[in-house]
Amino acid sequence: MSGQAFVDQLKQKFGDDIVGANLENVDPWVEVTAQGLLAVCQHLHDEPSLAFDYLNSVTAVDYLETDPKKAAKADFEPHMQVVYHLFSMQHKHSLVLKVIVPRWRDDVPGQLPEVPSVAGIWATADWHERECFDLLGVKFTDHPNLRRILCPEDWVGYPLRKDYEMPTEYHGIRGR
Amino acid sequence: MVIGVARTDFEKLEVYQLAERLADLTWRIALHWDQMAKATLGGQLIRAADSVGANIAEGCGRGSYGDNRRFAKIARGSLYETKHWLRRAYSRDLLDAGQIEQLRSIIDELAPRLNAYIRSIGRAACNPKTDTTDYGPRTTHMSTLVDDPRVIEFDVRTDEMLVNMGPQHPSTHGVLRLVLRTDGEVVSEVTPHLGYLHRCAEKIGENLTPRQWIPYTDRMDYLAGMNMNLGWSLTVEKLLKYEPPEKGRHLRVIIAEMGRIASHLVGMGAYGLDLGSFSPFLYAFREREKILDLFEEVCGARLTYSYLTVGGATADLPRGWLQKCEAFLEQFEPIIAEYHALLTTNSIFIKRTAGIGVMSPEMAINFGTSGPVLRGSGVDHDLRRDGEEIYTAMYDGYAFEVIVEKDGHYPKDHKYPAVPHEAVLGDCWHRFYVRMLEVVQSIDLVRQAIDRYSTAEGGYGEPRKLTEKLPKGEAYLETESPRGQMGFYLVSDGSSIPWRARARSSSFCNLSVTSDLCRGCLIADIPAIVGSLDIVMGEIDR
Repeated sequence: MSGQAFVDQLKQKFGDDIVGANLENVDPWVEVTAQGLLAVCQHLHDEPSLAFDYLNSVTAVDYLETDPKKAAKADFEPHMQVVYHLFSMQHKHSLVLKVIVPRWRDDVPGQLPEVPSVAGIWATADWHERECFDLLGVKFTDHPNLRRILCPEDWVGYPLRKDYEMPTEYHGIRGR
Repeated sequence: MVIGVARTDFEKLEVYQLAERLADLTWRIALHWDQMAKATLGGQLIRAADSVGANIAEGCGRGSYGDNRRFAKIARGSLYETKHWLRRAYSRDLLDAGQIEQLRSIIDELAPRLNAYIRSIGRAACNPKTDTTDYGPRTTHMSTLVDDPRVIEFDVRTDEMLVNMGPQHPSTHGVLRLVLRTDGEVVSEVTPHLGYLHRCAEKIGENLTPRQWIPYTDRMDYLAGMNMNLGWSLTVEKLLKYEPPEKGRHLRVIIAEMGRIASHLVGMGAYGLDLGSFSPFLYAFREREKILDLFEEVCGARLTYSYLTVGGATADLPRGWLQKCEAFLEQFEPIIAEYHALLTTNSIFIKRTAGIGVMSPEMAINFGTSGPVLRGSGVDHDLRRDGEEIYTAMYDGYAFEVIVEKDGHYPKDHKYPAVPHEAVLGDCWHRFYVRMLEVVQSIDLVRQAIDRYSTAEGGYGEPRKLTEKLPKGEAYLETESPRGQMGFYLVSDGSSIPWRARARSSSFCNLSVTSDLCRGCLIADIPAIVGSLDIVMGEIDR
């Protein structure tokens, strides 16, 4: 479910909201803009020939090289990728969607990047997006209940970010 | 002290007494109205007010809870109607301030009590039909009714209450905390709180090579460590585009399916415990122990194996192990009938699970549930047949049928106990049943795998080099582990340590349905529903 023809079809329907695709990877993926995500997902879910009714996973990957020596040679700019793995129970095919956002909104540290929540389409996204928010600091707008899920509510920072530093102390417990 | 319930003595019900006072008061008030007001408003008001008590009395006399409840609800309707006519009377200046105050005090007390009374019908502590306690002659009983301590008040007022279930509650399967919002016995909201077992496994995965991370996967679903090892190994192999040798493939099927049997035995035994039946647990653990012994012989560990690894397995099966494994299956297979007798077909078990926590197939798919939870709702999906090629290739050539109710029946490859008529597809009973049938299926698969393994040529699959560089790229793979679809996501930047290692937990998604599944059920059904999902917190919190 990820040949060039399929990508072209999506491009025709959603225009610039389909940024690009990587068809060479083991699991090919399609990149979508954050603004276009909801419309694309709704289409993938509702269109009978696609029928992506099952959301396997929502997660994110932080791209930041913290080692200054390696950073000079890194082949990417710092950014955050939100990754969606979809599956269709009816057709038994799968698809990977990616939304690429800056690590901080407007490059102001502390302002979380925003991606629209797909919890209204797949209920799976509710908890998965909470986990992604908790560990990677991606804000899913219009999420019904965007709270931390694995870490305590008063935890500071987003542990799966590459520049995260374990706190030295948490409520009197030594961290490092 | 003996406690009795004088069910048919409606005169002593507080709601009835209040209704009487209301009816008589309205009568006395309307008596002084003029002819016009009496003929129009008065008649309606008196009829409505009289009807409140009349319906309570009639409901009591009917004898059945259903009828009683229905009449009590009619009484409530009449009370609302009375309120309406009183409002009209007030706006037409037929009531003075003193009368309004009197009426208000009665209605303010009667309305909540009537609601509580309706809720209490059918939930009394003892049933008069089966109550054989001797209360002595009926007449003397009547005379002492008013302050008789043996009589339970029907109109009990209930308040909303928050109840913490866990994180140390035995039936939450580990450290899961459920906050229940209850009204009496009825649960109106369930909020799961997770994270007590969060060990940053994914962060650790970004600092170790894939083979070094294998022991961490053991500790996710610690009841099916072998299947976790397999899931991660296959994901790495998918990125490496590596295929284990024929013999290694069958070795993995033997181990994975034995792991499934062991895991389902815990699921079954623990579910019995959740429902208050202790002995199935002992029978289940007795057999599981034998599988652990076999595993120990294979890899030296009983729970956290780290046996299957990238490339194949850390070692070949020891000499003579296959015979022991076959002997175990031979001995184990007839025992399954005992489990069915203890739980599956046990009438108490059926009463506790059938028709409870019913999940529709649409809901199961929408919430991303998987494994027996998904198939228990009648969705025909099993990754061993429908998964990605790298995984289905492992089961290529094996004969097995997906355990799911299709066209109104389960597979007929063996003789299974019949589905009781109370069970509804998607309820706790079906989820349990799917697990039990999968045990039999796994026995078949292990037997087939043993045959193939014994005749296969070549090596068992040597582990790959510990610090082997991974190709640049990313791979995601889900495998059918006992609790559902366990997914691993591996992102590599070309070095030997993954850029990102992610575990998509099956129990995580399976647990996310609890809020919706438990809404409106009884407190006692919470362990039944949560237990039927068969979750492992190590995998949820990672």
